[in-house]
Amino acid sequence: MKKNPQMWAWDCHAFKKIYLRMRMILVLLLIGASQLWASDSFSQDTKVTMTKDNATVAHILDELEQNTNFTFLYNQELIDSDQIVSLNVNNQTIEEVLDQLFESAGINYRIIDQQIILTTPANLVNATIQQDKFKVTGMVTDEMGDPIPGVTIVEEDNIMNGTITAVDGTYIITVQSGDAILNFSFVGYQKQQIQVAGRSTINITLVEEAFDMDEVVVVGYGVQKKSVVTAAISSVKAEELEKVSNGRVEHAIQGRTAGVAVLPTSGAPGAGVKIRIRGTGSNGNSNPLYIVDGMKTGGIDDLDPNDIASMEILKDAASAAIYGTEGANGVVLISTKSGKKGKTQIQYNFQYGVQTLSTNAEMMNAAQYKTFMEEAGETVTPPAGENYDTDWLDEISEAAPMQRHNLSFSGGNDKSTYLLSGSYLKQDGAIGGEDARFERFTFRINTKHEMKKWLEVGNNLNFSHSKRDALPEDDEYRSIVNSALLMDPYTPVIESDMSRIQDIIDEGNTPLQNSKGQYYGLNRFVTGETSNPVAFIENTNDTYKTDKLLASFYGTLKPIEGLNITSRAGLELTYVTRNRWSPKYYFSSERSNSTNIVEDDIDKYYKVLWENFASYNKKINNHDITGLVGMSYEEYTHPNYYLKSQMPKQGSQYAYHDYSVEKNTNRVGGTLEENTKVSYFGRLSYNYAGKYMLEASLRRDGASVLPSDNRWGTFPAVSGGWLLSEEDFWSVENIDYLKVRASWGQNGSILNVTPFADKEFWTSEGIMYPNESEVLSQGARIESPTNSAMGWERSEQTNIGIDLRAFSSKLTFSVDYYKKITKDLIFNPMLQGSMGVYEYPSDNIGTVENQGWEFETGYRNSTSGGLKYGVTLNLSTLKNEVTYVRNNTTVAGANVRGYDMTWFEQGQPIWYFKGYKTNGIDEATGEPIVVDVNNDGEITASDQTYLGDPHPDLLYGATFNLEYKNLDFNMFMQGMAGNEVFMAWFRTDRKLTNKPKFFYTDRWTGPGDNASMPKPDNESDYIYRSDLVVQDASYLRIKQIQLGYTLPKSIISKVGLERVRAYVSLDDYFTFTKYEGMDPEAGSDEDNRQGIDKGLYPTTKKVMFGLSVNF
Amino acid sequence: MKKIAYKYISLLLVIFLVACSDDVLEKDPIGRFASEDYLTTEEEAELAIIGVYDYLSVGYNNYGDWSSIFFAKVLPGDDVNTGGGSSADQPKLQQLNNFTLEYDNPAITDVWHSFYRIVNSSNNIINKISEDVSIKDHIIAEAKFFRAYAYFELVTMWGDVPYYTELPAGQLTVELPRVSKSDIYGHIESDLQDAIDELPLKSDLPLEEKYRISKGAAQALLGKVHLYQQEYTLAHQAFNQVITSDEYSLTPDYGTIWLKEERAGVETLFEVMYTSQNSHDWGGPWDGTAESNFLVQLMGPRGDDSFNNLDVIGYTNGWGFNVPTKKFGDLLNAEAGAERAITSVISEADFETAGGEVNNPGGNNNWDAYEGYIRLKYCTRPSETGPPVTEVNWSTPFKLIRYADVLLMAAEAYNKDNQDGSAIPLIKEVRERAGFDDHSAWENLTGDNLFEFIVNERSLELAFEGHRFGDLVRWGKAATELSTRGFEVNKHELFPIPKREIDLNPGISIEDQNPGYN
Repeated sequence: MKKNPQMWAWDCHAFKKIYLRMRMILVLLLIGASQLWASDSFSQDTKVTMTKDNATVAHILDELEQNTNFTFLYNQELIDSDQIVSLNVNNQTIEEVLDQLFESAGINYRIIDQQIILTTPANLVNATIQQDKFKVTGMVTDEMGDPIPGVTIVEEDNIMNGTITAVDGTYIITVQSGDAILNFSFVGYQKQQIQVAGRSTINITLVEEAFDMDEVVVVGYGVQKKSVVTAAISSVKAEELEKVSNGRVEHAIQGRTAGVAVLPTSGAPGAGVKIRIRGTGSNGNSNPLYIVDGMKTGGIDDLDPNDIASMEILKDAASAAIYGTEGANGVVLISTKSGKKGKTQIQYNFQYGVQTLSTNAEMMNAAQYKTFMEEAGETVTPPAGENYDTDWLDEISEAAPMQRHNLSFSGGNDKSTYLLSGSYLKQDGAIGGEDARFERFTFRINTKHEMKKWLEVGNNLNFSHSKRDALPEDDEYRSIVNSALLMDPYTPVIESDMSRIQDIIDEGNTPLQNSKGQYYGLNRFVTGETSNPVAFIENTNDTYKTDKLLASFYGTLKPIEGLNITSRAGLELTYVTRNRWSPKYYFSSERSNSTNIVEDDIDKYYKVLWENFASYNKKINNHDITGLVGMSYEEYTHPNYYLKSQMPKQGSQYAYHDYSVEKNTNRVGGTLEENTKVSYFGRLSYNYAGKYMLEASLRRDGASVLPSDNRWGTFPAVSGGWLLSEEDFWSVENIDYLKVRASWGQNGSILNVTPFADKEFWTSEGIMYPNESEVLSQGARIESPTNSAMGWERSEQTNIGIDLRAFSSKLTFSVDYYKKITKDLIFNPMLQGSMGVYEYPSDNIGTVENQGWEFETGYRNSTSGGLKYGVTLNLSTLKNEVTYVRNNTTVAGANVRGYDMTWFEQGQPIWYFKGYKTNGIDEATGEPIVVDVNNDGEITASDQTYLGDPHPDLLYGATFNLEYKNLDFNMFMQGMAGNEVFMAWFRTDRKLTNKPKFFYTDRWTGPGDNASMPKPDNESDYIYRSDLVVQDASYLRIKQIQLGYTLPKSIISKVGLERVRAYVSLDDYFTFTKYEGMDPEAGSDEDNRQGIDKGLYPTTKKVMFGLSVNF
Repeated sequence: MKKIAYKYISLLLVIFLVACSDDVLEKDPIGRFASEDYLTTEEEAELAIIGVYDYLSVGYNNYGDWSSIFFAKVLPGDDVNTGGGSSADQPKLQQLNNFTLEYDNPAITDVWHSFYRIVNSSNNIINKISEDVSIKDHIIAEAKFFRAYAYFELVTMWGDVPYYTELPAGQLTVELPRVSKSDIYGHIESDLQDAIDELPLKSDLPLEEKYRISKGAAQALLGKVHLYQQEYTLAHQAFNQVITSDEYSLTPDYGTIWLKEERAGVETLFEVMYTSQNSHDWGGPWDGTAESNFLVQLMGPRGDDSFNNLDVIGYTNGWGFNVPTKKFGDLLNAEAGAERAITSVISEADFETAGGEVNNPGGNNNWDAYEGYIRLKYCTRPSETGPPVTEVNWSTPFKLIRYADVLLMAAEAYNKDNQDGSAIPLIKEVRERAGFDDHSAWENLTGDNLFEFIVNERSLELAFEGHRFGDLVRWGKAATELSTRGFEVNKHELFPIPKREIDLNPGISIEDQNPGYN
């Protein structure tokens, strides 16, 4: 009686609910959370000893709940729990206990995981009801068609009348009349209300609740029920990850949650991706901390998305503070999948797709080029008889295939679970085809074993091998895309004028040929380094091979109830070998190669992490306290070796170092990087009746890379929450759940530190000087000044949020406001030239503030006809500003053609673009009207000002899901607004380089012309370093339109399959943007060069086909 | 049993929780020498001074992206056009030549930095060398020479500049205001005097180390410092010490001055050395730290069908920077004497007669820098480079002070000090090497007339070597000779203080900028 006053209330009691579905257990297992949660008392090994005489059933059930992990669910109106019984059991299983207990009580039971449902035999129910009423029978199934036992069915106007479905999902209920209304409810499923309407058979399909209040989320060193989380954490689920066509996990996050920006550095296969959580906090590397199964890792590019169970993004300081170091830019926690107890599963996923180039960029064609150049004062006379009009962007691109396979085996018994999986990915480049190929193999073993009642051990191991053929990009001089943008259309792809070829041969040089022996076209007009990009696609030999092992092993001791002590050792071992060589070629005096040199870079990254932590949970009445203390030790070493020699002959098979007699060119190099970190941390979480939550954490970090006096940093955080909807006074009918939360905390970062800032050194690296006989002497210098004041970069973040669920959790909504102040940003700033130093030590240079609002909302429902639909939207605003710069100076960042183009300056967004601002085109002269910013009457370099910044004001994402019977449809879009891109691929020093078409179509053509672009001019800084080449790069991208079909079970079960789903998908297919460069998502490897487009490999559009089979 | 086992394990873990000591956070730097115990041996002192020489070669080669000191000195002159692939090639260099540079010009920014790196590295030696090092005085003397040299270039190019001999330790921003030129000159002179006192004669330098700074180099620089301050008596006194030392003479064959065999040769007082033996390929390094002279490749006659068959005159193609003006081409051909003319420039006609081909406009270039002459001084002679990629292994040194320059500077100082009699023989020496034996037309010139003759002779002798602009400015002739090229009086005599310096040095604000540049 006391426990469940009304059956109705079952699924509203969030904190008293248990995990009905395997899904929930799975989540727990996946996250390795079992290290903290004793969650596996299954019926077989729970032994009960109890003697009770003449106690009520309710009392005995209570005792059993306290002494075991089982929870009883029953309708007090149906089950007479006040009847007096006796019980005498000694070390017997729960079944035996229950059999004895209910023998005479007329109660049926069913054990589902840790929960026991009590029902009465249907005839007993009926017996309590008048016989002349209307009888309804039927079956309740889930969306897969599987029967659901234990579903509560209650008559709307007579809550005393109800029943529970049997093991086979069937039910019988007798209601007062054929007009009655039935309520079907079950934890984890949406409630349904059905008009009987005279029907005697009503079969119901219950739809899983979109948002499970008992879902747990992974937090640092543990898990928490979502309902008591007080921090700002976003989750991305496995289902979302599985749909991604790109083999990189990071892409899966893009647009999924508020406040997270995913910035591809390039669209090339295998290229890097940067994640920015809540803006760019640091001036250098602002990557979040990646934790995979508890192991800190340098990147997540080696994970197959299919292996991931869930990703949690810790956005606020309170959640990240437990990671102290490097938590300043947010934390991405990844849990990989593991096996399920008692269920063996084989899963195969396959994807095949074709990628094509997707870009807005359009360059001038031959006729436009000629007119433009001539108006700019150049002479463009194509060679007699030639009328080439090459579209270079077209020439460098092709339809490129990609495929992905993932095969996994998982299962387990009561003591152990395992998952084995392997994947293969092969992706050619839409630019470069197989010469830009990325191939990756991954292999994973996750296991977990309960060795003893008090000891659990497990491991997570991922091995990946990848090979990437890289094409040069993100460079204004020699990249492929850049050359395609700059090359004149009069130049042919394949040379037809053999006299040009002969001239090169006569000079003793080597014109470049393709594999068919044809000579590549030579520049007709463009001079300098820019050369036929098609030639360099085929002839670039630059291969990265990466082997990466990420492994962790743990043991958890559970000496007493509630106490878990875990020790976990992890290893991240990465080998990257890069081999590159170039054939001999000659295009121009500035673009030639006369010798075959092979270079190898070998990098070994070795990171060991040892963590020990203990957590203790105690519940006393309504007080629930969890404490955690721990320590962590990290050791990182990175030796690098460099080898260079001449090749005996041209060809990849000669690109090794042993075979040439020419040894003068041999070079070796090598460095070693090593550092250590030690951390101690603690956390106290408290909640009262699941209504009031309070949490505090403290972490103390020491890092070897910091000056010894400032080596240690302490990072506190507090957070609190209030679940208003649990209060008695809460009476808003449609709002099921309302929580307000607030947090404050500090985090550190040392990502951008150059070690030993406080120590003065003499170095001899690269310092040599020849004497008159050309013999070299070694030299030495102090190349960097010292900075003993250098210390931790520290971010402080305040977060306020509200979570809300309404209309039986069909509608969810959450809003967060945050303000994140990053102080003492670490950067190696350029020092004043007059100090005469060669290298710049790390310094704490200033403060950056990021603030914004984040909204996430979702609605999910289904019609009685079986159509399920869902919408989720997320939106975040971002305001980024540098609020303080040390010494009130400015710091220059990225450099374009020798000029500092991005700046770190007080009152501006971090690394904003600076150049000349124009105010239209002078109608009389066609020159840009440059704004005299300092009002001194003339235009000088000091008039350079803010032109834009790469930071979006708004980030958003939306998904739409439809499911009807076996069909499912998914559309996902993502976008940014308010970000700018600076077109920086131009070569003002090469006057005849091609320009985008709008330079021609929008140009000023004569006096009186009110044009948006100036008269043709190839050189002016007032054009190429001005806002005329800075464009709004807001975009909306339809990331995915996917249509799937799940084969009917009746068909596939005949061939022994469990589930088969096939789908077709258009990925990244439609992009809406005004930006006229290659890709509005212009990224860069360099952190201070975001939004500076030097001619990037754009994101490609893909047509995908996929198949997913479960055995 | 179980209970005991896990209790022990738990205990061990708890012990470990607190057992990690601070020691694990102490790491040793890789491959670097702690300053506390450096500069205590002879060998280390030698390494340290070579570090300064290296900065000189890096600064002259290019500091990054072709911002060479050499270009900063040679391009503002009327003897050259910038050239390159077109008039848009390397805007920062074009701007030096046509006087459109602004204070964010990257070349100026880098050259400024190059000189201060020499200052700072010299300071470090002077301040930190241990008393116990036996060659301490010699090393300090070399360092003082370099410090004086760098400050001298700084004041001539920028006027008042920050001056320091030591930077506060542990500080990343130092207030370094502009110091008056005359004060700096005082420090330069005192450094040079100290250097002169300690430095050995060139003949006393060991073989294979003749490239090192000698007493004569310091004396010559001191003379030049006085000359630039119009302290003519002091100037010729200093030069006279060089001349009477008999340590230097003119290379008999003018055309070989820039070649390998004359490295640290008889005419050399101060020179930047490079090597062809370090086997660079196209892989670099491209940041100016190469030990070969990348600049020579830039300064070869433009390839890409602009100048063909250069081998007929013994050269090969380069990238076309530093192109002779017609003014100087004509002047040299008319007045320099055959030896100097044919080894300094070749006219289009002579080139074509020899079998060369000029294609301009045409080829791949619309080349407006070309005025009918090809420069041969500091030009791309294949014998001066090495394998495997000849374009990037040039060994050609930059002659910063050579004896002919000293003779002409001395002559100028005597002339200005009304001692024309002492000037005449020095000029004769220079002209005789150039093949002129008959001095009757000029040997009786005096005063301003003789001065004008010296002015002209410097053009003939030192064209394209980076002296012209500095000379014109100190002579007050810049306006007349350069105004058609964009030179503005009271502005372009000096370069602007780089924007980066104004941004970062709290001691200099935009108001302190040189006139005409903000």
